[in-house]
Amino acid sequence: MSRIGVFVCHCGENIGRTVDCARVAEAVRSLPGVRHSVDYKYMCSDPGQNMIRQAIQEQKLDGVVVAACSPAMHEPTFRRAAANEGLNPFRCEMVNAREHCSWVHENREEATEKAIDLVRMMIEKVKRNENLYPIQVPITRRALVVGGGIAGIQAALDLANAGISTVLVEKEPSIGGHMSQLSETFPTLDCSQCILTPRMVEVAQHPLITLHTYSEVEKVDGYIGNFKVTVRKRARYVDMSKCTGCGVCQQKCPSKKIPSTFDAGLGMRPAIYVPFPQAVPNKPVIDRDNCTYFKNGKCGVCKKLCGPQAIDFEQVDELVVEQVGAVILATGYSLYDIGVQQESLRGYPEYGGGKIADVIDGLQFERLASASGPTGGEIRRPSDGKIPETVVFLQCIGSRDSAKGIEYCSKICCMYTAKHALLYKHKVHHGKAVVFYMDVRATGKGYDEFVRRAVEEDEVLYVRGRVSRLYEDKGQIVVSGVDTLSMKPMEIRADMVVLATAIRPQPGANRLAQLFGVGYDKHAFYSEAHPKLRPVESAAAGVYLAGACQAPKDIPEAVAQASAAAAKVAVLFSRDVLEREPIVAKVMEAICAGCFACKEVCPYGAVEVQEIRDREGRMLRRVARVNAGVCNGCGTCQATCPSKSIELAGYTDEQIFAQIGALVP
Amino acid sequence: MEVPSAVLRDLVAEATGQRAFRCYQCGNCSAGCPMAGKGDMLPHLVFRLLQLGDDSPVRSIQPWLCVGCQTCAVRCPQDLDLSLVMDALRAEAMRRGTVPDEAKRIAAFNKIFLEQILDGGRLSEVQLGAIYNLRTLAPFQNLTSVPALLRRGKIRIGGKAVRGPGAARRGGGKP
Amino acid sequence: MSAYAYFPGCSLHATAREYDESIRAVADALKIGLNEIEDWCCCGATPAHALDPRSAQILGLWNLAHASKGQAGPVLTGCASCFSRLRAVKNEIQEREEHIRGAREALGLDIDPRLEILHVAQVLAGEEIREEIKARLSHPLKGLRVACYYGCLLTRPRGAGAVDDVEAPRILEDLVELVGAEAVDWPLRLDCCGASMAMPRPDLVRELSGKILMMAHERGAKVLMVACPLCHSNLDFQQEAILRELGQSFRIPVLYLTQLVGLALGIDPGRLGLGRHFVPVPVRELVPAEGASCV
Repeated sequence: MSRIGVFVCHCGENIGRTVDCARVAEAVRSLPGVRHSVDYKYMCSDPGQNMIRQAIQEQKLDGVVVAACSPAMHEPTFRRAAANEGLNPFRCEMVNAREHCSWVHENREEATEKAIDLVRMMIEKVKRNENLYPIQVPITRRALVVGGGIAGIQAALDLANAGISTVLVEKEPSIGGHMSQLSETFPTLDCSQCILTPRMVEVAQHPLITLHTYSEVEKVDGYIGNFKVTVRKRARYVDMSKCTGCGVCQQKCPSKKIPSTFDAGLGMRPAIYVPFPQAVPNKPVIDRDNCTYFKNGKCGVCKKLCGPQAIDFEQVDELVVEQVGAVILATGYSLYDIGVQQESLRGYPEYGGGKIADVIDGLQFERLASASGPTGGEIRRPSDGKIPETVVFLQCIGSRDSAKGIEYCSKICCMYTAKHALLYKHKVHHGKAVVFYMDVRATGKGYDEFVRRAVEEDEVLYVRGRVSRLYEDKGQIVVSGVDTLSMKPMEIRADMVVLATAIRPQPGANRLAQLFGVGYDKHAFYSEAHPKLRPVESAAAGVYLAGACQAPKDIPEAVAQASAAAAKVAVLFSRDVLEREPIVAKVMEAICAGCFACKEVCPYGAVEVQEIRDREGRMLRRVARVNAGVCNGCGTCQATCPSKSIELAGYTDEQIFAQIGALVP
Repeated sequence: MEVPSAVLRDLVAEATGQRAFRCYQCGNCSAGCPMAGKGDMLPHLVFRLLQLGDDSPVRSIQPWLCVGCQTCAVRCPQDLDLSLVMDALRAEAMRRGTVPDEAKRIAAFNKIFLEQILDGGRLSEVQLGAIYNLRTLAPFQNLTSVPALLRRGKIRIGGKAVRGPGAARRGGGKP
Repeated sequence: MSAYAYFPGCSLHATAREYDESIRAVADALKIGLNEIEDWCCCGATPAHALDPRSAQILGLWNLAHASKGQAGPVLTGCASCFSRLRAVKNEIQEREEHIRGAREALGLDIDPRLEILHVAQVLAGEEIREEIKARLSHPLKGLRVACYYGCLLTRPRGAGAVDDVEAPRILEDLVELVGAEAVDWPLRLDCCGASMAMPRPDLVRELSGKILMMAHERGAKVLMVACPLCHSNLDFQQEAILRELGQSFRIPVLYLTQLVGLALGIDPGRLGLGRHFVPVPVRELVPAEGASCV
């Protein structure tokens, strides 16, 4: 016979005002199996908890029902109290008499009846509760970081410095990401590469970091604490162990006119190349699609001239399997391309559609401004190399545009536009800089002051209004805008136009998310587990997020998020085994028919196929098996199974039917 | 009679489906409008005034300058169609009798045009021109072009009358 | 043989008579059947929707009803305004049904809501018609630099029934290239000519159309090609006054798209109404001598 204790909490006035708690306690006191039933003002308080503990001891209770607030608030509290008295915590359950009762009803009589019903139901359930123990999952103390931009670099360094062996995978030939393309960073105007490259070198030299560049994640198996990630290391056609990075091959390569992605199309590179001089690793790759040798078997100059004989045209992609316990996704961003129609985005033909040479985007401007860029840091027109006398900057191209672009704000463009205008004015003192804006969003530390500096000291003209369209005319660009503050249409003849185009995730971000089971929104930004309180975790256990892949953000935020994600991984790895709640599903293999409907519906991929073999190894049949390390206890499988052979511990069919039975007379 | 102001905004929303509060005053419409700066208010101001519950747009010449080129509608980031709002403001200005003096010629032209269509179903441009000249007290306007148009066979006298639509508009039931 | 319910509109019966003539001549040459809709009425143009949306609805519904009769085929019109109005009313039926219900009831006529509304530019851009044009191209207009002027109502607004991309249309340039001419790249091809302001505010038309004429000329166009009778009027009828005021001595002939195609098909310029223009059309200069590929 059960020995259940019932504790009805008034929760101050929250429950007590609407529900007659004393009556509830009274109504269930004489139910079969109930040994103790009381009400009290604040069950979660010390005296309240002591009441529970005392009752457990004195009455030898084997089950506890606390009718109070939501279990999301205090289930751990009451379970801890029970555990401290030696009662298995999963024999302690809560009835939500507040959010489910007193807070949503007004009629005291009816609310009290309902509370009594709820408690009665829970008593029947708890009678059938079993002792459950947390599940222990072993952890591989290695981490994987996908993406070698500033966020990925920061995360990898934090992890490695915490003694955690880390694999960093980057799809470009070098780490560094977009930050390596920038000239200066706001608001301090630090030289971007100067602050970045030391970190890049640290990554390369750190004994605990394994760097795979020119590589991508191909396949993901496993689950938190036990991932098996297959990484495809693309063939560089250069033997990394022999190459000394001397650079002769790049100097002598005859195919020199390939638009450089690093220079955002404004500069050229050879077919065998290192993206930029400070690349890490500083060893080249051969761009197969543009290499004369690969195209028609001729040339091979690099191979002839390579001292250490490091060129290897026969090289093939290599697949490497990394076993890790946690993953951080830090794949960064890309810019909206105004010429290309991409899915539902229309592009902006009214701004030239990408066809006007002197209408460029933010990253292209960064390359012009960079001392190591295609113009040696001089702001020059791509069309004729002349220095522009008037530069017009357009903000919000694609952002905040639900008609043709994207509805969200890209966050960083107000700041980088101010920076660009400021840099231009510093380099071309007599030049005119005009910024067409709708709002200025400068919310970070020192940010507003930075924009004011551009306006007040560098005399950048800020015009509040959008530009309807622009076109080329006699070597200049006619820009048709408006100033909504003075109510004047403004047509400006510019020598160069810089568009602040919207920030989007990298192409293929959704594919990567699918590999890891990470959710993403309609723009393919990765979804955090909770927008306010869990910004670096994803819905997939063991997979964390850092940087612009989650949402547009600037460098300090990306770095902060990266360190936060690394901390989460460190917390995960701080124990030898992972403890998870035992509310997981279990298959009764004897009656499982092997239809795998449960596998189809499981949102977490927690159901595996289990082969049952006889002693000779012959396969008898296949049944489902739940991986307790991945199961999140949603119960969908239980609702789906046609043969009732899968059940959630703590929520068995027997328990649920008992609850229903208690309700129906 | 002055009607309370939020009424205008709601009236416009009802007639056109355009909700003034969606407009975030970016000015794209004004930047592309061929008539921006030719009237007494920039196009985007119309939405702002509606938002503020101000009904001066019905006293403004700006709606009368709108030719319905739709440049605003195709470029608005918030997918609004200001040209429809201008239509509604014109109709409302006529209803209230608040058409400004500078817009009287435009209003007259459109009114005569519409009257002609609803009367005969098809427009005689010469007749339109003649009546317009008379009503705007400029009887000899464009008269020099008449012989040139005649020589080129561009003037049609007579022609079929189609009276059904006019009758339906006047509420005469089925034509 | 394809057939269409032809909607000429008021202008094509009078001041834009040559547009009507050239449409019929080209249709004849390309074996396109045109059945003028009986009892069509004015589409309402600007004044109807500008003053009295209800009448705009009724006029449009009347025309759709009469076009639906007799299954003459999709509606074909040359006037961009007529095209725009018919399209607008059709879209209103499909997207804002409650709003147009009153007008439908007042009119009490049956309408086929699936009736297609086409501008002659779309019809000429059809696969089969393009092949026909290619086959009958007796006078490819080699070396002729044409500025295609779309105006406002041919491509705007977006949405159901749109002729081409609103910001980067190619339909007229493709047609120009199909007949062997050279389409000039110029930036004002989507800008407004001033439209219905011609009578009440001619100063505005002179300013806007003036910009268009100047830019087309600056970019080396020898012909300005249009797809709307009001644009044609503002740019042709008014050209002398505009360019004289601007102190310009050049004049640029303004042709309808069907007139250009007609010339390339070897149709007699008289049948295309080229003599009716205000700015003379020097046909011998525009059309290369005979001897080109004939069929």
